[in-house]
Amino acid sequence: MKLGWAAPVLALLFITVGWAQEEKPFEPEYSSVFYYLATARQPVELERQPVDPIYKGKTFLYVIPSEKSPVRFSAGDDLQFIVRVTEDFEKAAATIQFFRFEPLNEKRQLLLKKSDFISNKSSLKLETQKYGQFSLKIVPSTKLAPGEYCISRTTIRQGYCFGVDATPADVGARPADSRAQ
Amino acid sequence: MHNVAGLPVRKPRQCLSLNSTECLLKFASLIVVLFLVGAAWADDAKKLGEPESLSVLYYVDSSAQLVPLESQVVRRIAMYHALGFAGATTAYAVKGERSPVRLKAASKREFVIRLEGSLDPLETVQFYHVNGVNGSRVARIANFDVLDRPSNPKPNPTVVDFNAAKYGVSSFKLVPIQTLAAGEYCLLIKTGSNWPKTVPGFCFGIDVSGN
Repeated sequence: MKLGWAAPVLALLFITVGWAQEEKPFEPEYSSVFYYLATARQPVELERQPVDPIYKGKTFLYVIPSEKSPVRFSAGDDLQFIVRVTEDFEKAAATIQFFRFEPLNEKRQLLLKKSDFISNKSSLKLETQKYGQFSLKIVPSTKLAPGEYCISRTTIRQGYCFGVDATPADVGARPADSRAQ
Repeated sequence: MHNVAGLPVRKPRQCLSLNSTECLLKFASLIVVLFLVGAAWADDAKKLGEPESLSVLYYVDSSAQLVPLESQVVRRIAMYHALGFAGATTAYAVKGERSPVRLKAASKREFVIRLEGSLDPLETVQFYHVNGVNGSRVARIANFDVLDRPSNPKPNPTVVDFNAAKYGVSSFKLVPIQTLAAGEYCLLIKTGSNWPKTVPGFCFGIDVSGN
């Protein structure tokens, strides 16, 4: 049949167009930059802060300017974050760390034992899974109590911070401390 | 019309309109071929010049050409205060107060590095603003008291924060978050699991526009 060759070409065209139009998940352009992954809107970059420790004997003190992060969520929000990584996913997942900071004297502070920090033992609990082609999705294991938080990697010098505010329903009913996770 | 064997030759039908299935399919096929050629061409155009050597940093100029930076050996040194009785400062130092590689001040700067395997450039590269001191370029990194305990450092103003994105197939582009001010800069490359006393560095200076 003379026109037999045209059918596969057309089929290829439709497959190509369909594949190109398939919705791909958002993945950050830059590696090791954390975003809040919103379900109904564009991902939000968290507050980026340098986190060089102050050495105090066998502890590290991390200090971030201002008591509150400008990036705010509500205690009831489903918080999930994404970060693009260059390593394989298991190796990258082991480097993710997540801390709660205490607001004090117009700063956010965190005091950690050096050994716990190096072995990444003092991080709050997180679930990590592969997201898209190059990224990790990170979800806190339990709902976060109101407070100030930073997420980072053991391999970088930046922390990505945000705050969680109490919802009106929470006021008066004190939520469980997330550090008890 | 007949051919040399005397058999009738069928005159090819001209597709002046798309009112037959045959012409319609021919037209669709032409579109497909154009689409595939275009896609292949666009893919070729996207190929970027990448460094040949691992762990060598380049500056990307406005025409996307890779410009080599000044290759240096960077040493970690201790600068003692009052013969050490008032503590010391550790710093990275490079010979010479001024890099021979000069870039003009501009809002956007990009650097490219090819890294081995799956290394994260944010872990492997450190970017410093260095100052000329006694014939060297120096970036102060930490202060120690007389008992060699790290003393409370302020946020390090010599560190330049940057983002890193994939560049080509196996390289990364490094993009400083803030516009780089006039001055001297060095990027240091981590060569092992820790930062040893000497590391490769790639330096340049930025001059104020018009200089």
